[in-house]
Amino acid sequence: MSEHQRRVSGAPAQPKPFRPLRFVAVFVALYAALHALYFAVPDRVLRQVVHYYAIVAPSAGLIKLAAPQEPVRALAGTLESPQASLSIVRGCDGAGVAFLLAAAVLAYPARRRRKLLGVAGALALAYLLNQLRVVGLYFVAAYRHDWFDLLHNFVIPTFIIVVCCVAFAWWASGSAAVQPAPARVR
Amino acid sequence: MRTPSVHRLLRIATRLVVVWALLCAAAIGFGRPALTLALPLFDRVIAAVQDDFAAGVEMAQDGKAQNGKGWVLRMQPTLVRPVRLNAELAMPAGTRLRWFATHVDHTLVPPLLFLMALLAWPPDRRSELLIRLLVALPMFLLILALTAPIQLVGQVQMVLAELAALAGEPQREPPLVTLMVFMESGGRWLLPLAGAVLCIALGRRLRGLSRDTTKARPGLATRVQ
Repeated sequence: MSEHQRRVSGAPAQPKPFRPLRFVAVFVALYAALHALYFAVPDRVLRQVVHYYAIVAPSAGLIKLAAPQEPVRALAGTLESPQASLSIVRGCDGAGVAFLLAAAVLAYPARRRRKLLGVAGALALAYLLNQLRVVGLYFVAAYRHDWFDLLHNFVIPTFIIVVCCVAFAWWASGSAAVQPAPARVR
Repeated sequence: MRTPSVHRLLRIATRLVVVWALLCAAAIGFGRPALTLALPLFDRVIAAVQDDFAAGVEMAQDGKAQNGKGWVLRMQPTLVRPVRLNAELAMPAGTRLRWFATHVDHTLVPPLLFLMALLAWPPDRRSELLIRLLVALPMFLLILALTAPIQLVGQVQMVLAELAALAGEPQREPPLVTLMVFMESGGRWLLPLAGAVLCIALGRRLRGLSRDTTKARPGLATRVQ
C-alpha cells in the first residue's frame, strides 16, 4: 500500500522493520543529545531543585515510612542522619538509565503513540528504580557500610540495567507490528 | 497494539537474570585476576591517547573501601614534558603527580553488561553464539579501552585543567574529560549494550552467510523483535 493509498483508506502507519545498525546509530545519537541537555542544567538547579524535590525529599519520606524511628533528614542534595550521609550528585540521579531506556524506545521502530507511552513508562520506571536504589543504599550506608561499594558500584547498576532490558524487551515485543527484517547489518 | 505474552516476558526475564547472576558471581570471584590481564592494554591506551605523562596502571587494595577489602586500579603519572599552566608557569618534566584511581568493581560493569547481553540473547542456531562471541572480541577490547584508561586519563587532565584555571587561564574542558564524563554518566552502559546489539546482528548475518544448514531452533530472538 502506498502512502497515498494508506492515507485515503485511513489504515494506520506501519512502523519500519527493525534494522540493527540504524537502531544503534539513532539510539546512541539520542542518548548523546539527552546527555548534552542534561549537562546544560546548572549544578545549583539540579541539586537544590531537581535532586531535592524529586529524589532526596521523597526518599526521606520513604525511609521514614519504612523505618519511622530512622532520624533521616533531606538537606539539599543529601540524605543525612547520624548513621549515614548519602549525597545525590549529577550522574547518581537515575538520569543515565532514564536516557538509555528513552533513547532505546525512541530508536526502535514503533508507532508514535506507542513510543510516547514507552518513553513515559521508561521515565517512570527509571525514576522508581532510582528511588528504590537511593533508599536501599541509604540503609546499606547506615547499617552495612562494608557492602556499600560493591552494591553501589557493581551489583545495583547492573541489576537496574537487567530490569531495563526486560522492560524494553516487553515493550518492543508489543511493538512488533511488522515482522523483523531478515537479519542483516546495514 | 499487540498484547505482549507474559510467558515470553518471563522467558526473557529469567534468561537475563540467570546470566546476570552467573556473571556477577564470576566477576566477584574472578574479576580481579581477569582484569589483571587487561593492564597492559590499559597502559597502551593511556600512552596512545595523550603525551603529557607516563604511567603504569596497577591493582591495589583500597584501605577505605569495603573495610579494606576493596580493590582499585590506580596510577601515579610522571610528566614527560613540561605542562604549561599559563604564559609564565609550567609544571616541569619529571614531576610526579598524585595517585589517580578507579574501583575494580566499577571497571567490571561494562564488560559484564556486554557479556550479559551477548549470552542472554537467544541465538537462532547454536553455532551463531560462537560466531557472535568471536565477532564480539574487538568490541570487548574497545569497551575495556574506553572505560578505565579514559577515566584515569580524564581525572589527570581534569586536575591539570583546574590548575591552569587557578593560574588564571580560561576554564577549558579537554576532550578526554568530556569523554570521561560521558562514559561515567551512562556511556559505560550505552557502549556495551549498543555494541552487543551490533555483535548479535553481525553474528546472525555471518551465520546466515555460512554454509551450515543445521535446523534453526525457534528462539526468542525470532519472535521478540
